[in-house]
Amino acid sequence: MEGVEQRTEDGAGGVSPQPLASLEHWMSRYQQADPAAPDALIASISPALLRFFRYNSASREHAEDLLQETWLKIHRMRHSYRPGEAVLPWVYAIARHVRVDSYRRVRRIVAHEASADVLPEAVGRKDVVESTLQFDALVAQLPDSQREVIVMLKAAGMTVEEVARATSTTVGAVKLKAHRAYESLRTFLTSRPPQRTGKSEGAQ
Amino acid sequence: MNCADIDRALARQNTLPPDALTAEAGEHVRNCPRCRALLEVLSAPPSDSELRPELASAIREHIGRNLVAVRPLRPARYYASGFALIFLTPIAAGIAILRASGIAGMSAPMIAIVFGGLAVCGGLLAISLAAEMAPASRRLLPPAALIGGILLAVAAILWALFPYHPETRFWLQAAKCLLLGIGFAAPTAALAWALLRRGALLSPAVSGAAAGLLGGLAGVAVLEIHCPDWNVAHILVAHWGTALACAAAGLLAARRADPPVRTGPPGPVLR
Repeated sequence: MEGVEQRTEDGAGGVSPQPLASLEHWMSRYQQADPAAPDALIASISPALLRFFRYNSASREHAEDLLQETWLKIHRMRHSYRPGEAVLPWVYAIARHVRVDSYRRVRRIVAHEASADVLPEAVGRKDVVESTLQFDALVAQLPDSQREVIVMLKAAGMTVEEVARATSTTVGAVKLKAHRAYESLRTFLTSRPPQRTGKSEGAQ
Repeated sequence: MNCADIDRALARQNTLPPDALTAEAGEHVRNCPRCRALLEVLSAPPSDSELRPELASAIREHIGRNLVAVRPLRPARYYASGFALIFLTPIAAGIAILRASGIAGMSAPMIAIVFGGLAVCGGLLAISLAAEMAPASRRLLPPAALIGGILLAVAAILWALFPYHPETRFWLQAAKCLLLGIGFAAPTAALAWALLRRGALLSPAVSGAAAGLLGGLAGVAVLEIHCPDWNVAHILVAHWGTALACAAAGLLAARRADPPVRTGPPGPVLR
């Protein structure tokens, strides 16, 4: 939960942080066109959303584009939020869909360029590979479905139940993916000492 | 306790970073460098992802320009009832308009299985369609699996209950029934789609297929009530074919109305 509660940065335009419990309150106000509500929601949710996109193989620039696209969708779909329900699964279901759409779009473009004898760039991977943060580097090696679960749990601070709703699966399926992700992370950790970072690897 | 037990214990936790482990697990972690490393990684604060002020302003500005009050969706059961009503209306119309030659010859168990099965499938679809209207709704099954499951279940019921016998003018009879079924199914699917559009569809193609199938099932029910031809080949081609054709048409129509992948490279949206 702290992932969403903690932000207060000026990066969000000087808006005070909103504790998670009040996200539902702000979402209802947003539906009633309260001008303060979008500010509060953007400040509370966006940094974690940005992390979600970055962990899921997006470069900073691509992640920002996905974030904008997500907010456009959130705005268009805001009537479909039912007051009293948890906001994060609703937001991440939309974000996840934006990410999948973007992935398909990029794949189509890359396939087109490949057919035109242009070498495709591995879109979005560069920043993750260059990351000096161990978690980023480790999580980038996980399969998509496991990474998504771990990132929602860690970067977004969601509970297993919330992740299950956001990904349209069951709690059991989320726990199974998390279990497999921990096994994979352990394997990566044993094959790669934990103290090493992207930078030091490059130096070596 | 071993490393695999720690993985299982972590997976049982509700959040990350993990809450306190049991004494036994804690003991293992203290003595196991691999588990300690894993827990350190999972407990580390997430990496910094500051939102650039210009980006936040651009999003705020766009939203502020288009900020009007909206009425939130009603509870899912309200829409599920709506879809159920949309499903039942053409069946009632079929009973009123057409002769009930098909159902007249059926035994009570056959009626219970055929129409009970169709009612259960229609009900499940109505609940699923209502869930489709809002992201992150609780679902009984993934919609695509439900659509496939219903098509298979209906085909299995019809195949198991009706006998095969060769018939003359098979294709002519099949075409007549197919057209009649689609005549009832199409307006039903269109109404279901109109109600669906009041929500926010994340996967319009799947939702379109589900709306089409709801109409198709209503068409199957009308045909089972009306059609006296009990040849299983006719029933599968013409009656079940109505459901299949409507689901496929719904999928294609929804894709056409709302293509899932827009052309053009990914790029800044608000800049």
